[in-house]
Amino acid sequence: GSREEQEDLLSESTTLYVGNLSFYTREEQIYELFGKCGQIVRVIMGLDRRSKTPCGFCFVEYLSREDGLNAMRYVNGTRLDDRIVRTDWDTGFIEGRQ
Amino acid sequence: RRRNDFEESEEGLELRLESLIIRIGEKSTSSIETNIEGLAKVLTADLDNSKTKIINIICECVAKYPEKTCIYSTLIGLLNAKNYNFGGEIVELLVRHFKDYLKALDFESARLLVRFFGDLVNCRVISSASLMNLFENLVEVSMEDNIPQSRSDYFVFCVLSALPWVGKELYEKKEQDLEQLLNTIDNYLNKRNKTHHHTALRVWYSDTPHPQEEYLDCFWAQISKLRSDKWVERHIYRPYLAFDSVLCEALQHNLPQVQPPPHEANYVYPYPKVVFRLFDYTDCPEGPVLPGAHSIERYLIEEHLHWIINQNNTDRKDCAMKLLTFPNKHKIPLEYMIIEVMFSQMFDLPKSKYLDVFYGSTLLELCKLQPSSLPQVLAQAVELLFERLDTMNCMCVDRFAVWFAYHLSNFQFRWSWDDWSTALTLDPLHPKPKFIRETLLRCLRLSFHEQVVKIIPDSFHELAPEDPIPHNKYSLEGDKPPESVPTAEVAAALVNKIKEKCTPEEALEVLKELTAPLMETDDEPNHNSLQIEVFVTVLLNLASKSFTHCFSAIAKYHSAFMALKTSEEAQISILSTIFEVWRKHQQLLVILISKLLKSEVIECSSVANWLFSKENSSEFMKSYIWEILNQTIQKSIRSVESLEKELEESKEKLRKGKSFKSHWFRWTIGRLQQVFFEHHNHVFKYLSTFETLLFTADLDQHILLIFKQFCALRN
Repeated sequence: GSREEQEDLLSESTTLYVGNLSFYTREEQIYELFGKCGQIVRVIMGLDRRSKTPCGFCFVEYLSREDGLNAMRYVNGTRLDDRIVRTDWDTGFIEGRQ
Repeated sequence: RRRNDFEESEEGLELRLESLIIRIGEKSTSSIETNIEGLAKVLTADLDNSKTKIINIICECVAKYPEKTCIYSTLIGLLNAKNYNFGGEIVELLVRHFKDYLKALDFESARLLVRFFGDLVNCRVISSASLMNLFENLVEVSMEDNIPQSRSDYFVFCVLSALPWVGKELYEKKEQDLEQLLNTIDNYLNKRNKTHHHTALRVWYSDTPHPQEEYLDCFWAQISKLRSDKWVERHIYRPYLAFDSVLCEALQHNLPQVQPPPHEANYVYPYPKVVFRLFDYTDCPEGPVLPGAHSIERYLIEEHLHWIINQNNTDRKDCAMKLLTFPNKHKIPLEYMIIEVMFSQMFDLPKSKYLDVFYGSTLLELCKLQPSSLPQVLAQAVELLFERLDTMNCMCVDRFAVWFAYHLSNFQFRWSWDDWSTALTLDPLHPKPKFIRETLLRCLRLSFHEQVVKIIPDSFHELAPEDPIPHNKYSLEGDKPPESVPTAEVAAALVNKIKEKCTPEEALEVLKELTAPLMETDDEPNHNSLQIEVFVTVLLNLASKSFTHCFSAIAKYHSAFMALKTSEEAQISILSTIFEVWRKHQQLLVILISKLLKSEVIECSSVANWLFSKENSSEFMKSYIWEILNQTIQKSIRSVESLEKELEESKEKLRKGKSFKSHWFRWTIGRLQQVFFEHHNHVFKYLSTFETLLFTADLDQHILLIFKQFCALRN
């Protein structure tokens, strides 16, 4: 879509892109850390196309925008598995993006 | 002319004025006094065009930036000295704001305005006689009949909390009136009822080493000390003192008569509080002295720190930075006071104001910004909290463990656990070993099992969580021969079917062979527990690779779950089987149950009945059980009633036992309190139902007391 459409989607999104994860970080840990900020609808682990193993990112979808905002406020830049987690708004997960 | 076109437009000008008024008092190269004087000049020049706008902005800033009370009062003082009518209009509008805040039940803003009126007396904008009159009207509320105590508490607190600002002026000008006012307040405070809420809201049940004082009692002691010091305090920075010669010429205004709006049944006043005390001066032997618990400075500095936290709760970095650049920080042990205030909010009862993770992440920033001193103070605080676990409220024990595990996860889980080895010799339900166990469980959720085992000394392994792996009672690898499990064959067949990606109907077809076991009574069973056990055990084990596998398996076989869920007993059977498979994975149990509630496989009341069932008694003392309960209550607040009944029955049984004040009792009573506190707004809606049906006079006094203490929050 156009840039404006993209920005509109981002400003209403309840989904975060989470980067800089360790390859060993499991869904459980994402649920625990990001669950501190609100109700998680689902977590989608980013998988390597060939090996189907985690490759350092995931998507976290929250029930509400406010929950996602809290994650941007309080989790972005803190550590999980001793790596500094980076979060950003995402336009929402579409099947196949893993 | 320097002004450009934009600034010459009316809108541009007002925006510029607004920004100047909001930002006054922020970091600047010139002194506060110079800045205030400059702003007063600018505002006077633009008065004709933008008067209404200017007045509105000032009035809003007064309630929004309480740390700048004296800056705004000085500003208004200077404006009033130059233009008496303008001063009058500001006072009039401030009074209107004050009434509006009370009407809107914005009690904190209204309190800040009362204080501001006091400070306007110092700036010769308001007459001391009319302020005394306002104070008397507010305190008079304490004589009203049939009102909740929280109402009179609030208005008395309003007046008291203005006294650090204006007490000295009133003492010099209106000594008699002030004495009389304080006597009225003293009489009121002496007859207050505070046993209930005081007990319920304490973080610690014990008064050693530090008394956990009721907030008005403590504040009264602080004000009394200030009074005996002739109202001289050392914290408030008063820029108006520099303008004495200008201000003493000014004419004063009288505040109009203001009567607080009468009480109405739906008014909820601020809850009472208990003052959190962690440190005294002996805890910080180096550096400046910590103000004593009854010195007004302790109160003023703490209140100021709370404001900083409230204003910056959405930005942990700004929050940490602003806390550490506190004005006059060299005169106080700032790190200690910040940590104490942070924990006081984290442990605040009934609920903390912000998310746990706000406090956790802000403490991380504080450590990052002040690495040479803050981590040590924080570690010292953790030691003290651990030492005082014996009498800590159980909700606070939970919050402590959740925070501590989170904090450790950001510091490679490094901690000198050996210092806490005394905990290993205690009863497993004692708060110390229990705290360590819960902390390690939380560490597990943020890392993985091998790591948790690695971070603790060998001697602590009995407190370490189990490896969160699933259990499969139909697995052939066990040492029991398959024929001893009559259902093993069906289970094996189901495994193959599901691996072939069968439909829910096909899965149910396989289970048909299993007939329902008969009930103890000869009634027709209303559910087939064997089918449920086989189906749930097989499905969960096949989908045990990750949360996602588990959730998609449940989604795919949703209709099979719905077909098997024929009654409440069936739901409990589903829950028991899930528990049997995932007993070692508490976190998954919590999330799984929430998913099943959402997809309507399970109802709230079944979760409640299952949690309190006899089979679950081994888990009863563990935090995650209450995590499940509270999440379920959130789902359906009405189910609370039946839970209380269950709990009451447990107590009934307990009472027949011997020493009832065991650890078990303390945790259970604490959990009952937690149900009230976590959902206080909702529980209050059902208060009369509770009073007539459940918490009646014939109930055991220990249980009834918890209810009464809760009610006292709004009394």
